[in-house]
Amino acid sequence: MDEDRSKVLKIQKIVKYLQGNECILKSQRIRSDLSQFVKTLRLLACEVGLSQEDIFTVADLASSGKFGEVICNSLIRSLIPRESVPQDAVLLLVSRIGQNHISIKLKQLILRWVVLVFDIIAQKNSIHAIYGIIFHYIDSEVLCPIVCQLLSLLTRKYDVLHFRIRKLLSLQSKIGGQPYLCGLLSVYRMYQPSLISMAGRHNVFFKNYDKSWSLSISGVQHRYGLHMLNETMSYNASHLPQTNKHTPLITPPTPTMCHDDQPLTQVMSGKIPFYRIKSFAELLNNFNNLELTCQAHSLLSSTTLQHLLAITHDRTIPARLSFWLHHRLCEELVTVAGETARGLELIKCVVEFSGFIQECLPVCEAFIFRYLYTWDGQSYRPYILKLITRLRLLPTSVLKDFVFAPLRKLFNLSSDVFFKCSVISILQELLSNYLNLESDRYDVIMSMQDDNAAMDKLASYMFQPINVGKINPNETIFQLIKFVDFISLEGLIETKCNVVLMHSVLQFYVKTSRIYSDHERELFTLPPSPIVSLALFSLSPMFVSTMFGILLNHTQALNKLGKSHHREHYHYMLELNSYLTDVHDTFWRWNAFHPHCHEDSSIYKHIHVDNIGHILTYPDVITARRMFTIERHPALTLHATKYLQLLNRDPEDMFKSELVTEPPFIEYLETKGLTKLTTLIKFLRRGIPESKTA
Amino acid sequence: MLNKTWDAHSCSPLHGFHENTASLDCYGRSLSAVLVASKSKNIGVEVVDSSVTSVTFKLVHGIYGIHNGLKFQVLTKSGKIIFESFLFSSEQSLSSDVIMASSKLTMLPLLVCRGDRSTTKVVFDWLKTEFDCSLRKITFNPLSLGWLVAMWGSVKGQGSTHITWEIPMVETGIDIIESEIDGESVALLWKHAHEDSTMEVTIDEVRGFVASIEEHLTQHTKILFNALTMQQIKTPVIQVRNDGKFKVTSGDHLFHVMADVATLALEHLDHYTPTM
Repeated sequence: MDEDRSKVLKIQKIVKYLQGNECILKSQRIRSDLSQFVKTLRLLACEVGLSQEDIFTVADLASSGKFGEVICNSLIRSLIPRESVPQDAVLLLVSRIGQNHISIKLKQLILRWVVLVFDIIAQKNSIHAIYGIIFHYIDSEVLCPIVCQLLSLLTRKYDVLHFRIRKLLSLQSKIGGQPYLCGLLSVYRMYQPSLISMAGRHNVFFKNYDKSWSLSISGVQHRYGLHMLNETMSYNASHLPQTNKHTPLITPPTPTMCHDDQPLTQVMSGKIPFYRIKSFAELLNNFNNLELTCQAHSLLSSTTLQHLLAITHDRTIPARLSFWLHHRLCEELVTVAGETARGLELIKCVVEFSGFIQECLPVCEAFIFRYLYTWDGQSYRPYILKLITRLRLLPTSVLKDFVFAPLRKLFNLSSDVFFKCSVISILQELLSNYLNLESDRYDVIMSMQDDNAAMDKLASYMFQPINVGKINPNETIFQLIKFVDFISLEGLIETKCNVVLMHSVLQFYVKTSRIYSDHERELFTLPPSPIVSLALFSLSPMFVSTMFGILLNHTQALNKLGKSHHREHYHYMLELNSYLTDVHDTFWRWNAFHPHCHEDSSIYKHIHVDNIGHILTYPDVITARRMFTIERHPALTLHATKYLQLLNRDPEDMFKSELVTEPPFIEYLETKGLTKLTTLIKFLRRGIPESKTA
Repeated sequence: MLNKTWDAHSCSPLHGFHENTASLDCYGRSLSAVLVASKSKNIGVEVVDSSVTSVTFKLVHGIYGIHNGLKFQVLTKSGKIIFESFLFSSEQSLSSDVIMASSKLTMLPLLVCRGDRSTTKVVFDWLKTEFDCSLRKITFNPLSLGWLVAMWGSVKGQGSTHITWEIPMVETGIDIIESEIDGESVALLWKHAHEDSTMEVTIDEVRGFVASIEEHLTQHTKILFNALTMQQIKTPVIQVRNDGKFKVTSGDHLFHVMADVATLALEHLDHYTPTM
């Protein structure tokens, strides 16, 4: 916005300059400066448009005859309005046309401009008053076509007078049946059909001269000005609306035309029609008096009206809305390949609405399932992904067939790492949605459904009450986590442990590790061992730290669970135990790649420990066993070296002494943000990890 | 209604539709006003010499006492019909019965119409704004066409069934293949595919029926029919194309046939998730 404001100020400066330098314009030097200014003015006008006063001033300057032809031409072309055109400017320009000091070409340009901005002129009463004067210009050969076009826009019933018709007919007999004359005659005929017999048949009455000009005007208007629902600025009288592609997507609210009662009683009942409500305050004030629209989908058009959608008691409205949505989604998105502007508008609206009501409509769900089959992963990507995060708790078979299978295909086949990361992060969001909102909602709905008396209450709880089958929420969430395990492994292998992807995956596991502590839900899953080993042996300290954090979260959850429940989650305990033992061996006890690794190791299960042990050993420097202790871990050597440099000690010390025993080293690691690491050190120091063998 | 080609559309439930004559008159007047207004909007167009005068809405009583059909026509001054359309109901209804039965939603899933494009467009727009419904052109998929063949191909003594197949590739030199099957054979095939005891027809039965026809033809002609798409079927009672146009040729079973087509329209409209 600041950029725009500076442009506006610039425009004002230029206009002032042009006003001031009236007399000095003849000299050559000033003329080149002037053209530079005018060029800049035109460029800026194309970007931000001119305000009402500026339009008046520039119009005055352009038609005053003080500047040369080219400059006046540029000035007229830069008359691009930001909000609306004051009718005084138009009045001034039209009156100047009658004078002699501007060239005929400029007059034509002025009239073309008036036609282009006709719809944006603020009030038109004075312009209607000078209809006769404009009619007078029809005699000029050059101006005739454009005058006819302007008159066809301006004509009202009172303007169709006998002498004018006679004049037009005589003109027609003189120059023949020109399309513009026939256009004007057909307008006249509309008002007085008895006076005119034949209007002539032409396909296009008025040529559209200035397409690029009108495009720039509509561009500026679109950004700043009043939105007009009509597509084209230039009036094209003869074209039928071709297909429904030109009609706006969500029509503004309209009342019914047929009423049950007499029409008069409707009017007198004092109800306020829908389309008058513009703000939320007005909605609250007039709540009792609203007359409902007959088209449910028009309520989607503004957030104020969406509130009404959310709280209405009329049960037909969600049904009508879902039929309309189904129809439009099929037409715009399922059957059309690629992205279109209308499809984008529709899907944005749907996403916004489902965010507003914090749930996913059943029709949107069905649409997602259908669409994912044929989705290419590109079109409308952020919106489709956002809709997936809003899905309800579904039976696992449905989820697997309709969501996971297509996502997996796209995930594996897409070479774009960001797509993979976005999929993982939306699945994480889906998980948190499930944990936060949906499981509670499901419980409430099931309890309400069982109790038949509460069916009405159900309607107020869900947007559109449908029968929900019995599912096990824990099972669904578990399957979701397993799916993410699976695809993240595939993704990491394919992208060779891309850093961004690894980060998204690890964030997901941080989330799963906190399920019990945050949501009190007894669902325990550990990351699969390849991912754990990838993280622990990676070269990035953040990953090592995060993985430690995950394992620590799990231990905390287990502690919180209490000893009595341990038997139910025996497998989980064993697995966690083995991970912790491995961590202990590798990072603390100098037992990495020990030939006789602990029997229950998860990480070392499928590795030929001896070979790797040999490969990693550098005699006299380091052995494989000690290699991954915390200070010598390849990810952390950088930190260790820096630490030693800070203290002006010999970097070789790293290999000789036990840095982890030094508290300053631990503090140094904390300052680098590796908090989980330091927590782990404290944890390991306290003794062996609490053995949870039952 | 017979022997004319109609366009089939699926129509979502109409809101606020009243069946009494006063309302129907009101709708008629309103629609005619809209048509007149839209005609005069398009100035400069080739002026049609006859202008729209009246629109009549009539109820058509079907075999099911409760659900009626609806017919409306647009007539010109000289009495020529430039647009006519029927709305049919079907005996089944959508899953959420509660809402349908309770209030102002009328379920007339099938809309068939014929007329010129501009009038059709104006009429559809009026329907959409007045009753908040959505109209979508129906495309009949091969399974639906096969089902119609199974239902109506075996009407006794009225001739045989023709099925036209479309060949997807242009270069082979032929674009359609027509086949003719006798009514008796159709009845026989259907008896094998479908257990007579139940009234319900499952998708698998229809698939089996169609597959048996295809296999028979493949055996005789060595053309793989299961790779071709069905384009048109002509049973003695009704002829249907896959892009939504159909023609009813026999008046005896009119209402039953239309009820079947209406059921297909209902399927086209159905948008709830498959498993819930």
